[in-house]
Amino acid sequence: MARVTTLLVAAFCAMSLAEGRPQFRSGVHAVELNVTVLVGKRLVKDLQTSDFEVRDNDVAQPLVAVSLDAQAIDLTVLVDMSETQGRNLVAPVGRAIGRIRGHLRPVDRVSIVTFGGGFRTLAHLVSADEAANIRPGTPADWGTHSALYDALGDTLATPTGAGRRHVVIVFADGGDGGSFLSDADVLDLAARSHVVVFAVTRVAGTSWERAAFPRAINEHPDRQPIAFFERLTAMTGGRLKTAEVGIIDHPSGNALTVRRNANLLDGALTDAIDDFRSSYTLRYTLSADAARGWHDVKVSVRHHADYLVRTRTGYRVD
Amino acid sequence: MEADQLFAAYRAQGPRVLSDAIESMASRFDRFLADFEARVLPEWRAHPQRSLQSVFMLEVAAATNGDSHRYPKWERFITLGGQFLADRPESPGSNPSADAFEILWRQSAVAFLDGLQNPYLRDSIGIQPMDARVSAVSGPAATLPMLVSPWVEVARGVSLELVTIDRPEALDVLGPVALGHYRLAMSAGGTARTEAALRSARILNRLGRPAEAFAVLADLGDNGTSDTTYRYWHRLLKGQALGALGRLDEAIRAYEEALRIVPSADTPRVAIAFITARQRSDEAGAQLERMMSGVRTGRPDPWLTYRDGDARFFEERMTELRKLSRQ
Repeated sequence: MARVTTLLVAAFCAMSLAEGRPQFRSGVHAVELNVTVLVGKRLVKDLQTSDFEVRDNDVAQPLVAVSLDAQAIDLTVLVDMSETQGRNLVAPVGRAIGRIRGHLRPVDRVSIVTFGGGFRTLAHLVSADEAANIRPGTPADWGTHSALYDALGDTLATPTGAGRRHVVIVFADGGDGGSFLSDADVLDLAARSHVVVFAVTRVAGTSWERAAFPRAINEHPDRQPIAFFERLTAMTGGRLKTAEVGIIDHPSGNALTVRRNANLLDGALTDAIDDFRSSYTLRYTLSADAARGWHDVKVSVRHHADYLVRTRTGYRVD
Repeated sequence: MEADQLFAAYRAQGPRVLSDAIESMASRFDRFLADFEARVLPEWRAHPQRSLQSVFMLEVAAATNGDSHRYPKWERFITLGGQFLADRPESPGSNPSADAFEILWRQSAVAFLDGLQNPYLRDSIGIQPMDARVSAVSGPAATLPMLVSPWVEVARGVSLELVTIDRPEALDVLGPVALGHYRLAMSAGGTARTEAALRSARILNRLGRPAEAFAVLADLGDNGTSDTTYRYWHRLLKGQALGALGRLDEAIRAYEEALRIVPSADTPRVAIAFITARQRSDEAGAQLERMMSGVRTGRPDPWLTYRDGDARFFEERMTELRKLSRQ
């Protein structure tokens, strides 16, 4: 996670800022990175400031603070409720949401948004206890298209509470079918946002398009839906899990059948929350002039080449 | 019930008799279809009157494709209906009212197929059969006569565009081809021009050519339509082009115009949020807070019909088609 704020170092003329809006003042940019450290599958939770080495655009950065689980969390769960996926996801998502209670604290807040056609907020910044009673919808809520990019863009653009960390977990079919925003728009917002995105999506799409339009589709694997999720989660420091949401067949070229995977999300939501909660917040500062533009970020743990360190690949400042 | 009996009931009582009859067929649908092709359709072909029969075939296809009884080969009724109309004795151009009826029938079939959200089926059953039958403009005298409707080029473009929406990796290849179809529809004029121009702008925006998109929209204006959906799309797409050109204040004004046309819509709010989140100024942030309630309600938003092609016209076209078929 990179929260890009600006600290006023000259006049200290404090500005009154609405909750949830990042601070942008002339002076020095403070960067926050959300960093997860693993050895094997075990999360490493006992590291100190001196253990980390951070390089921002290949320049080593002295850290001003490192904390672990000190801030409250805002969790947004985005669920694909398009017609084909709605029926697959109602039960597993309902069960997964019911399990988050034990993985969040009273100060944490939960929002649940479904997308399919348009998108709908089922819960907005409620407690984990309240969220546990939310069900992700009924057939009446199923839309015809996945407005995935609009739902993600809306979430990434919406201000969150100051001093809180924001994580988004998206359960999606993989493709977008009805958004106004594009995949590039979402990635652009992600590069400027401090939000961390985890995704659970279907392994592969149906194949009739490949048969019908082989050249147009098969030549661009980097622009297929799964590639979007790989970029989004890597850019924000989250994680991508692929699973069979439902196995869709077009056996005669037109008849659609879907076999449901009822166990799809067991553990996926709570694993992502635990993963995020166990991540460190690293802070360092850059001068305003040095801050503009795209920043590649690399983080490592000194003397532990065997540790796997996950953080966002970079961030953008205008 | 056999097909000729069902047709007699349909002629007497209208479309409401079809849904119950079709739903109760279950495994007997195969036999119903086979009997229709072998016995009933050849009898119909011997007579010049075709309109009510062709609408019956389209109605059967629609009734067959319900959620609880999606029978195999239901789409055969659309294929047969299209062939039945194309086989009429007079050639295109000699009977304007019959030509207009056939075009409306094909438009209705495509609108129905659009509602099924399967671009492959739309293309193979609805669009490809028109290749040698319908043209956007009249051909040279030496060529076979064809039905003339600029709409057909919009329909061809939409088929390709829908694939690029489902599979964005196809945009670079299929997007320009779709643009070519839309350009033909625009040059032919008529009511298809508005839809073709708006869809051209969308593809141009997606292809990263916002200056061209803006030019198309500026040329179109609100000319020729008072349709709320088109006026709303126009503002959205204009805002998108302006945003990509860096004219952010103008883009926000365009989105605000879209909101004034459809105050319940979420899409302009999302679009404004996208711009203001990138501006990062206090003023933009304040605007964002005014626009963003943080809660989305899923209220009606005409942008959501963009992906549906002609589906939003289905009921209207069928009503007109039924009326014409009984005159």
